[in-house]
Amino acid sequence: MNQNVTIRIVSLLLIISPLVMIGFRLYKNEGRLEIVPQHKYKVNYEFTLGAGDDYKIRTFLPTNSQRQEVSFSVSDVSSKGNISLDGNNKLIRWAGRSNAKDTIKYSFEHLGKEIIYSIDEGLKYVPVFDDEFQDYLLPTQYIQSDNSRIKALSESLSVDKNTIKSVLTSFYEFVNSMPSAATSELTDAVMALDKFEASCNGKSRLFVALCRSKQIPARVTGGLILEETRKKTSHLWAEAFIGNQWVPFDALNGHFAALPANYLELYKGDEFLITHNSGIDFDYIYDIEKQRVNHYPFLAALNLWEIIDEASIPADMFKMLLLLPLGAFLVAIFKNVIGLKTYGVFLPVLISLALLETGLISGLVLFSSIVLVVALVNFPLEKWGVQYTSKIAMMLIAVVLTALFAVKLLHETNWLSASAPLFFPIIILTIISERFAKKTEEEGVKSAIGLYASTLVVTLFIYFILSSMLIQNFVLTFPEIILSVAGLNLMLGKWIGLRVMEYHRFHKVINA
Amino acid sequence: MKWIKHIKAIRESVMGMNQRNLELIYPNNARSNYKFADDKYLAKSIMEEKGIACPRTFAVVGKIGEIEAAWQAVKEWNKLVIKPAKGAGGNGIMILKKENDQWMKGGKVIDEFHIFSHIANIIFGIFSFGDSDVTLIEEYVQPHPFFHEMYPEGVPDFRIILLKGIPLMGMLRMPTAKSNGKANLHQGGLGIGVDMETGLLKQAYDGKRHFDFHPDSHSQILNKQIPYWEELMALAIQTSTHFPLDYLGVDLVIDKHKGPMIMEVNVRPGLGIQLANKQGLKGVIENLKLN
Repeated sequence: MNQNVTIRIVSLLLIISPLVMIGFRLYKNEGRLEIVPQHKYKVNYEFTLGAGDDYKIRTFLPTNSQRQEVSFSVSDVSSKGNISLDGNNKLIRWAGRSNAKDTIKYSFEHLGKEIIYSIDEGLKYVPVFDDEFQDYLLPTQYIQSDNSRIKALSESLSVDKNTIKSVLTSFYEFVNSMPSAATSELTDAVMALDKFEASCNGKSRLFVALCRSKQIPARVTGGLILEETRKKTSHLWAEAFIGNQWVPFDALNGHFAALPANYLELYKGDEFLITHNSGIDFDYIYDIEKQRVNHYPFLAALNLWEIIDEASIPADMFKMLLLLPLGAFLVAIFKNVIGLKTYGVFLPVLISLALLETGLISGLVLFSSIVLVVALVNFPLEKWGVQYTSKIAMMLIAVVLTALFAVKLLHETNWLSASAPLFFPIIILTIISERFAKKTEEEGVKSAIGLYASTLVVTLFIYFILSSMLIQNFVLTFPEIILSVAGLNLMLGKWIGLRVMEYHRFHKVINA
Repeated sequence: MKWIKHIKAIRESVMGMNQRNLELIYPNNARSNYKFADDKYLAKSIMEEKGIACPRTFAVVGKIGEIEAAWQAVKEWNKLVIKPAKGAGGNGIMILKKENDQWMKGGKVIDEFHIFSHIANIIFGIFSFGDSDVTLIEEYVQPHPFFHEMYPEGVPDFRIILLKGIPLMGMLRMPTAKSNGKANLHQGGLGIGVDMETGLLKQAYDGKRHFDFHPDSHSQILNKQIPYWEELMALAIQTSTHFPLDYLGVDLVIDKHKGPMIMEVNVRPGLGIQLANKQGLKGVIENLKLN
């Protein structure tokens, strides 16, 4: 077979087969199609009872909504309980007698989605007196929207405001600016206002009370903030009915018309998350496990996320390894397609990876000051005719001193975080300064600086590509893609077209 | 659209770096044979063995300890060229002339200590990317008066590119005021295109513009007849048959007394020759294939 045909077939196979694999993996994937790592949480209710207690326990189970998908894993259920619906909420009840120290376990998985509402700026504020919303407009024991001080506050906060967004913003900002209290005690709306300090439940009730006193339908909503932990703390936030939907507000944690993905919603309304009969020895804990969703485990010969999660090998190491060939391919494009020269093939890639660690600005300052110092040191050494190896060794000393001073300076100006790993970047910078010195020696400072400039252009471009979270997560999720990069390299390596800069260089060969 | 036509014309006739590497250098020159061109000592050994005219080698110095003895053997000559065997782009070449029993370099007196340390630096590999090297001490070529009529300084040379023994394109490289006696295009020298049929000079190119005359001396270049043109071509073809390199650039000089000589051969001749000739190498090769 003709060699060129063979090469073409090999490169196409290399390019296409990983893409087919990735296609399969995406197709077979059960979660949402997203490359940015996603997490689901396994939530375990664990209720312990004293020996010999006759117990009655009631709590809530989550339901599916626009922003959360819930699935129940029956196998983990130790006690089935009695499930019933109560309006918006799903209740579960257990009753019985505990023999020894019995534990009731109930678990489910939660996959949440961050949600951000945009409230129409032009939507007018109109008081609602609809019977349908009675439950969300009338005062209650803890949400005292008829209280005179709350009424006065809501009036003063909403004076001259005629859109619903400006009224809610004003309420939200007031409640949000109140100091947070770390109490888990029940705080009602009036207490929160009196103390001018509250935790989630006080702030949510105050926000709802302010809304209701201006005839805006509002309610509190309860649940858990999910994180990898075992905890007792639950959370309360508010919802207001705007336009034709319920919009969430968390004035404690600063979410205006938005909720993060890790908010598990368990119930609507001012309820207690767990109630039990009195006189029993009851304890509870929420055991929450964070699990990565988008492994795309089907056909994954190399499931790096699994290795990262299970063997706790830092993702950064895999990331660097996989970005290296991608960066080298970009250098190849710059060289063979555009015609920009650089110091070596790997160096621009290594510098960009170094910049990922130092941060762009501080990295560039470090990088440029080192190159400048090398150029300055080279000048007298060259003039005095110092031997090459000794000269390079002296330059290394200059590089180390510059790096040390630069690091000191960058720390003082807080440009560089104290924990920035600098060993790798400094090694890279030392290598480039040697190349720079050599080039200065061979072709003079001017062409060394020219090459430095084009190296910098290529480096910055690679940096911006490689710093993309999407690309980083893509290569970690689908490492087989580097075979496609190999195929593209093979094609590029047999490409005979003119480089972009050659059109400029040779334009005078042809009379225009 | 005029510029689209221009781009098309460039694409059709100009040879770029990618195509040169893939279609000229890689298939015609085995990497293991590069050394016959890159190492001037090896190249000269072949030329001397095959009786190809080239500047005489007075001494070859491969060790620091040999410098003194080699110097004793060559110092009776009045003009010398000291060069690294593996140097590139004319770096490390020192031209010495004796005046009133003193050695002069570029119009300044130079003592033996500095000559020796230059030879030592060559051996240490300063001009050959850190590899150890050998120093060649050669006869100084006296340029033919033809060149000095146009510009009185430096040593101009011809570059002829051959593919499988067929000369493709030629160029005369001439120093300028900017180039410090060096004739390389990227060092500010002048590249002058050559009509391969007739041996007449074409226009000159200085890296920016084309001229019909030398930009410093203003003497006419266009349409001047190159002396010994037939001999130069024959020498280039003869040389190419003795090197295991099917795509190569041969650099020739014309000595005042001895006539055409080979200075060196090059496996990766530059593509700037196309600018000097206002002619694309790709077009030239395609025409050859047609005939």
